[in-house]
Amino acid sequence: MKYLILTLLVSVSTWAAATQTITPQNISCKVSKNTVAFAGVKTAYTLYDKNLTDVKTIKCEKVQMNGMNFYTVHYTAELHEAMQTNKILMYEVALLNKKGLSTVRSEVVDEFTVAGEAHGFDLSIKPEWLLSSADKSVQIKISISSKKDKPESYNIKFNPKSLWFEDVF
Amino acid sequence: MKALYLFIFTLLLQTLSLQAQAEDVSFSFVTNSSTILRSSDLTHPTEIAEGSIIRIDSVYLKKFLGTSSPSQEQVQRLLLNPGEASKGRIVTQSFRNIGSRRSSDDYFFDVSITTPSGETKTGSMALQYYSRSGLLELKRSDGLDPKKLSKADIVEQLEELLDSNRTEGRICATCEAASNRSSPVAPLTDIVRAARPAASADPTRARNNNLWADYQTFAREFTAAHPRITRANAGRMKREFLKALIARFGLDKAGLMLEAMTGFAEAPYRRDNKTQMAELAAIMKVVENRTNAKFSHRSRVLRDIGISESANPRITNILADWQFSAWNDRDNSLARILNFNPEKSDASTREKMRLSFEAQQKMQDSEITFVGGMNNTRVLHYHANYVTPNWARRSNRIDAALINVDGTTVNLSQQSGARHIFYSGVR
Repeated sequence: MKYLILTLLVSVSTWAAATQTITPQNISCKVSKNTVAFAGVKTAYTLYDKNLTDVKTIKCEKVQMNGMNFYTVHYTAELHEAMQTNKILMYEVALLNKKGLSTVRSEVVDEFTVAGEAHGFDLSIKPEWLLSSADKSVQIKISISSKKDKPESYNIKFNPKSLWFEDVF
Repeated sequence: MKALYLFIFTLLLQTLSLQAQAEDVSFSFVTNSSTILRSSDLTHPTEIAEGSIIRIDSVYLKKFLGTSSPSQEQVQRLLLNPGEASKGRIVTQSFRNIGSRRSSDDYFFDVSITTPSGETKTGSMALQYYSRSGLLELKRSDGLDPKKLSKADIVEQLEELLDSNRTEGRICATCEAASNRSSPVAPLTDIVRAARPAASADPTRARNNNLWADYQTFAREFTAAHPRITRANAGRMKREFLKALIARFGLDKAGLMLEAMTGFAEAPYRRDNKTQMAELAAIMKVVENRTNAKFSHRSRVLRDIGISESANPRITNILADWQFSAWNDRDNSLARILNFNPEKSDASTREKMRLSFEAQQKMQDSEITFVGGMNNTRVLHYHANYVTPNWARRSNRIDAALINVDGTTVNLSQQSGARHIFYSGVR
């Protein structure tokens, strides 16, 4: 038993040392059609999906890691599909580079058909930014919660080559 | 003379007894998953717990069927009429606009619900099942007279329910039977199994053996490793599914499998195998046309799993953002794909998936061919007949969607209930 606890403690401390949690900074932002203007950034950010309407931002944040500036926007919007109009809840991450802001992850948190039952969103997202000490990679632990089920978590990792946060399998 | 009076009296008593029995006949739906009940103004949906009994007053049966003593079949016709509600896409708002929101209107009727704890609730329900977000409702489609449906229609509708994994319902003839649960209650699967032609269940007719066999193996393993798909994890599960599928079979083979899965998830259910394959082939034709035209270039899910959007046009077009909605993270059809298991899925679902792979092979072998307007590489769009997207007004609608399956021409435009309308030259 003693060894088990010791092993667990060592494992936890090793994991804690391997990853460092970064707290994002809340920033103000304004939305116009499908572009978002983050405070302190000259160029506006165009959301990943171009044909969105009724975009409403919930929260904007800035994260500085490894010399990179990430901006996040958590928003709701309407998206017009071939068959129906959907209300979507999104979490999007943009990277600031010389050309401006480009999408590096666009996570569909929840969606429902506008003309349907319109229960509202059932799911919510809780991102946790992590910096790996081992390979200095930037990761986000995504937790999706619903009113019914326990939260589902998975990690995504920034790939500097593809300029996208890819799922860690 | 005395004996004659006694006989007439007995006959009268029997008639009265039968009449009284008939008046009591109503319908109960025993839930074993969450169900929705709305308040009488249909605004506040409430979830009804598993195991509840939904009881419909016989006055509604009389109103809709013209008799207070309907047969079981008549009750089924009334309640199990999916019509245009294929895949749960019918939107409540649109039929609210068609019908009144009053519970006395023929689209809705009062029901009482007895929960497993014994609590009784009342509210309104619409006449027909449909599923959204894993929940169940009852509704009736507009424009269809349930009394005029044939037996084949009813079987088809029951199969539609099964096909959509809506097998939770069990039908009983009387409320009393459902209340004490002592009488036998027939599962929908049994009703359909009894009615389905034996030939349609013959698995040896599949010719697309390798792809179909490999996919079944994969699906078996995936569902064993991921037995629980929820709305919260469906997006992540999709990415795991795609990553594993492509890693195992490579882009080309995985692309063909994904195409067959897309056909399975998008095509409406048809009872007749040739009609079913025509429906499946029509979806796959659109996928192929889009692939050849390199119609879509963006797919966030491919980027999420580290695969280039230019690696395989077929996969990119299938998984393109917001195109084939079966692949949307929170779509019910996605769960149907991810949950597919050749042993555990119901017979109807299994058969439709098998037919999708068979139809794909027949397309490659020119045993399924497209006629007239459908024989056009510019057929890139379709929509269900219960919606009218903006782009449809300025596009070339194919009025007769003709597909030849093994020498038989099927006209998809003439199918009853939910169907797809195809277009070419959408701008």
